[in-house]
Amino acid sequence: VPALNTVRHNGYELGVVQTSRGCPFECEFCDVIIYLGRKQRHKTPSRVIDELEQMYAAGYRSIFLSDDNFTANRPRAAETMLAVRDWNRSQPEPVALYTQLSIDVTRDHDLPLLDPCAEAGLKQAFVGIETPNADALREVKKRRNLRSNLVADVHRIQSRGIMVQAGMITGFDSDTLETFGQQFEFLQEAGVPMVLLAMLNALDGTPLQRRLATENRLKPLLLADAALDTNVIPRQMTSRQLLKGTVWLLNKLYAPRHFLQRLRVFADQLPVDRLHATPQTDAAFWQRVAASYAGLGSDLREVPIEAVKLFRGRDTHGLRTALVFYRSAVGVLRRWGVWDPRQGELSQPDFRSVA
Amino acid sequence: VRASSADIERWLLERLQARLGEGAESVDSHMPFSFYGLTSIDAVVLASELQEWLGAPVSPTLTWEYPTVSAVSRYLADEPAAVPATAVDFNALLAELDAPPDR
Repeated sequence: VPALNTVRHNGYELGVVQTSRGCPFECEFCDVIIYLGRKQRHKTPSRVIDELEQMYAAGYRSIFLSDDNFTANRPRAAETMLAVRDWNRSQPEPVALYTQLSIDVTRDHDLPLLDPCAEAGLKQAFVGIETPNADALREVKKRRNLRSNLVADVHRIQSRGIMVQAGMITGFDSDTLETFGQQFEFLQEAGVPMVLLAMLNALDGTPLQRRLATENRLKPLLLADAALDTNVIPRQMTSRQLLKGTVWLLNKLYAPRHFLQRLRVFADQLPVDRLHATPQTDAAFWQRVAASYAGLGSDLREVPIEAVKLFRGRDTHGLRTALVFYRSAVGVLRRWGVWDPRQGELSQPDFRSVA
Repeated sequence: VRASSADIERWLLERLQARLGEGAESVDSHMPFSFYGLTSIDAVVLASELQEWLGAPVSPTLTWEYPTVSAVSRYLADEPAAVPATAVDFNALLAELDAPPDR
């Protein structure tokens, strides 16, 4: 067990416990298996509880289970979550959990997994959804995302009180100029408030990098920040079209009314629970939110109030994280200078004159 | 820097427009420099020319940190996105949190 008593804990938002390492899947673009391997190794449930106990004693009430893919081994994930559920239920102040998992956490014909996750206290899950384009998912061997309806899966996770954060990628070989609009429509329908969007990049050591090298489709990066640059030469569009489409998608997703619409869809999935919806103890948090939105101008300033209206009588755990994330995302887009509300009004990226 | 962000933006847009040549699309200050085909060498040269024009030091890696005309102009003129800092009504926020569900 890590010697946590030697760590100074003030100033950290989240405790961290890693219950497994590695991932058995072979998504073409992913570099996790390059440095952590394809054979997933697990800590025993009792070891996980020991580490959670330590984190709890150190004062953490939000804990990140920092696995590469928590649900890669489904029986093991269920066993761990059942142990965590029993532990968490016995705490005076239950902790909120956050992890990274596969969309097929919803698949429960072989064994129930989503319920143990929710009952254990899971409140947020990062899911590599990547794209609604099935051809692209096939192309990069992201097979787990092909088994069912992605929107229905997201809603099912949300209905158990778990906010889904999505990792999304533009620029797959199967993507066309239509794909940017499809990405937007999908995310609005699914109600995913927090989207981590990047253009496809070929990371060192990945199968994608090897394939593109043989196809002579790698180019040097101009910018250090990969969100606005890629070393991949796209297949069915030009690099300029890819960039134009991605900047459009960022602006479109983070236009205030579109962000609020995704929050509305998410809130609609959540169960109504008047008793436990809004702990009164975190007025200080809301004060900070109000202050942090103050300098953003009239169109953004009202976002927290409008958002809170959508969550009346519902758990605001995910909302709180989404509001902090949104403030930060808008800040980054503004600092980069790509924040451009005109783009958010266009129904499609404007590819005229972009060859 | 004495120049305003509008001055710097005009200068940069003219530079990039001249580089793209006659008949090219007009440069959008919100699109990344890489969109206009700037290489890393171009970016360093641009920073050096900007330094000469402004008469003030400009980091050669400026366009890495501020990847658009809009971002560079605001940064150099020291004009963070100019919006009035009107506070969110905190009491209204708390009142909404306490309101009963209506849906």
